[in-house]
Amino acid sequence: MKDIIRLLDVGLEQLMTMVFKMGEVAKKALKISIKGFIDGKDSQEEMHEISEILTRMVVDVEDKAFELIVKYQPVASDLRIINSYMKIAYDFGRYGRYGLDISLTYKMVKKLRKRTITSELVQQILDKVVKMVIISIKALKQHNSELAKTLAPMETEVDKLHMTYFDELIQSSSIDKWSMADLLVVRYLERIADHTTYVGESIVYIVEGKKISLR
Amino acid sequence: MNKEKIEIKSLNIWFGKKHVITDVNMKIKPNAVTAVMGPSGCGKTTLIKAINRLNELIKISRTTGKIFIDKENVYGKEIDIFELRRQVGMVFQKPNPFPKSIYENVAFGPKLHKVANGKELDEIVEKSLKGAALWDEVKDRINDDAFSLSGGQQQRLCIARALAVEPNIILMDEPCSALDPAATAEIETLIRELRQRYTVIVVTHNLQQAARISDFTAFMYVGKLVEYGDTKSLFEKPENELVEQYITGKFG
Amino acid sequence: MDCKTLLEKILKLAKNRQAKRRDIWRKIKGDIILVLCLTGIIITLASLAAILFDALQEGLPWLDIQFLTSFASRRPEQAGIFVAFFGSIWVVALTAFISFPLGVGAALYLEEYAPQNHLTSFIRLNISNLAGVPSIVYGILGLALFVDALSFGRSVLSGALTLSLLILPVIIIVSQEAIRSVPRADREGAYALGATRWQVTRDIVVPQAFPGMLTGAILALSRAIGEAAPMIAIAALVYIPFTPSGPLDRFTVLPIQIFNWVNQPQSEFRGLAAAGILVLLAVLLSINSLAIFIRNRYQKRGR
Repeated sequence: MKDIIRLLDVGLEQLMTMVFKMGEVAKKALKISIKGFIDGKDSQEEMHEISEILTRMVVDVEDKAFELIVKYQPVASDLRIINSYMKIAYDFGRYGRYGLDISLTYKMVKKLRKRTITSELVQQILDKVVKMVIISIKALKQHNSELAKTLAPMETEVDKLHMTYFDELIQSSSIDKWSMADLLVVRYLERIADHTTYVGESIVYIVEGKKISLR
Repeated sequence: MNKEKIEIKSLNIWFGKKHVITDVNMKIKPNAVTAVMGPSGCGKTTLIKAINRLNELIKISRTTGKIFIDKENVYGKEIDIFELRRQVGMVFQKPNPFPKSIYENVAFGPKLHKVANGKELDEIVEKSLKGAALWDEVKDRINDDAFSLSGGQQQRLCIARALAVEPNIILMDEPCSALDPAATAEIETLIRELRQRYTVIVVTHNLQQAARISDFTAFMYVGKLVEYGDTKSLFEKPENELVEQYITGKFG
Repeated sequence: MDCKTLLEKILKLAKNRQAKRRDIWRKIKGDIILVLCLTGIIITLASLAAILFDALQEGLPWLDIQFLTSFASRRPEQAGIFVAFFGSIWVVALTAFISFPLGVGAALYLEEYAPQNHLTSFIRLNISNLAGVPSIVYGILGLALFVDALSFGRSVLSGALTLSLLILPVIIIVSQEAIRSVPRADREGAYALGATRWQVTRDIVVPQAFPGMLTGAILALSRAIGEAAPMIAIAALVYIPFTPSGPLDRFTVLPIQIFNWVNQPQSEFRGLAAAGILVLLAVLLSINSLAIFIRNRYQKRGR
């Protein structure tokens, strides 16, 4: 059975490309905001721009998805793809949004004198979450549900680290003022991790047709 | 209620040397609409005609296997085939009203089986036309020729005619394919209502129609039953690759 | 303008002229065919008109009430067509009575009930053949079978039976066509409602095929009314001074009487024969008109 190229396939290709691009933009945005936070640079303006771009891209993806639904009345895998990509576009938009929040957080505390200690836990969480973001985008491009499922244990770890950090703060006798910002940022990172698992769930749905929970 | 209305077991049908239906096993639920789909020539029409044994009009046909309706094998030796066909009504692709009046069309079935006459017959005709959502449109011209009706009305007349003998199963062979979109919508609405009182099996070419009106969908391919399940999951994620290819239009 | 373009222009002109000539020739061919067809029709109609005119000219003076109500006679002034006319009516009526049910029944059996095997194909083929057998053969058959073997004698019954055999193949074929024209979908719809084969035949096939069958039968009968040869074989060229009062009575029919008169030496009998022809034509015309009337009436009712 040779593959017929349908008009729908052209449209799906366009839809997927739009969302992949969103993923790259969101990834870049996160890296910028995190670096800014760690290195002490105000990246808020840049982030704001990127956030606007991402919002527009979400709207474009929605429009494209609706156009495909109206024209082609898709079923089965086509319908799952369209549905899921719409959701994933939203999730990628959230990556960008939280990146913006992180840069805003930095802006709020940059008046403080330079920070002396950065908890190791925060760095661990940062690394883990960036890795999850990269995996979510890679798994999407490959439609790789096994890779997507690896996000589940990672999310559990991030949760644990998050809790541990909380405990650490509670236990410690002296709290650095930077810790306020750190805590907020850790919260945002934890939310980003959640959204990567949503993306993972959507990928599994596309490939296997099953609705599972990765958290 | 998990009771099956119709059970098809090891059904095989030949037209001369051609093996048209191969080893079909299927359980059809009561008071539900079951769609039968598949590419042209896959045996959909032959399959449903096996249920009311209408294939036997074709002289070179041969059927083996069993079809149970309410646990009784319709291919059994003691079966009254004319009673079977009263219980299993059928509506065809192209509306085929008889060249008689509207009244006479609907009254034809009951008259055949000597069910009623006179006032009783009038009541049956009215009830059947109401059941087919046609009564209001024809009650003032019930003695007019059936061909004065529009396509959608003619098809509803054929449905009323089938309902008049009080079947409990209704077979429909692409009932909307000869109708325009408005008439199609009428019939689809009617099919959804009919399922409350009857077991309905619809052969259709139209994917979206199957998705709209059916509770269960069966996929045929070259005489075999390839997949059978509830419509929603089948259209969301078919288990069989062939079915996925067919419904997404990847093969013609 | 250089040589090349000049040459091209000349070639184009030549091609155009060629094309125009082809078109003119095509038109002429079409016209020739049209003229030939018209000539055919004109010749046919003219011949018919000539015959009619001749008959009217010769026979009209002899056509009066006396002619219509008298018996045959050796004297032309007293001869009439009464006996032959009623003889024809009797024979045709009886023929209709016998052949219509038989023909329709046979057609129904062949189309609806008969299995598809070598025997039935053989039968079907031979019905067509029988339709082409010369009518005198039927006359001889009728003489041997009905008049002699079954001892019906030279009666109306024998005549009717012979004519029935003659037109039966035609009725069967026409009825078969009428039955075949009933769409399969109607039959299927009736079967799907639980009808038996007989119910389908009686309630669906026959009502729809009936007008066609009737028209066919009437046309077949109108042929039978004009058959001279088989009737001469059965009834013989004798003088019959009475109209039949029962099927076993002797009889004579219009074609025989006309034939008889044509063979008489006296010239007045030519006029009588012509008058007889006019009566025969009038009967034929009314029968055919009846057929058309019935067909139109049923067509309006149907699809």
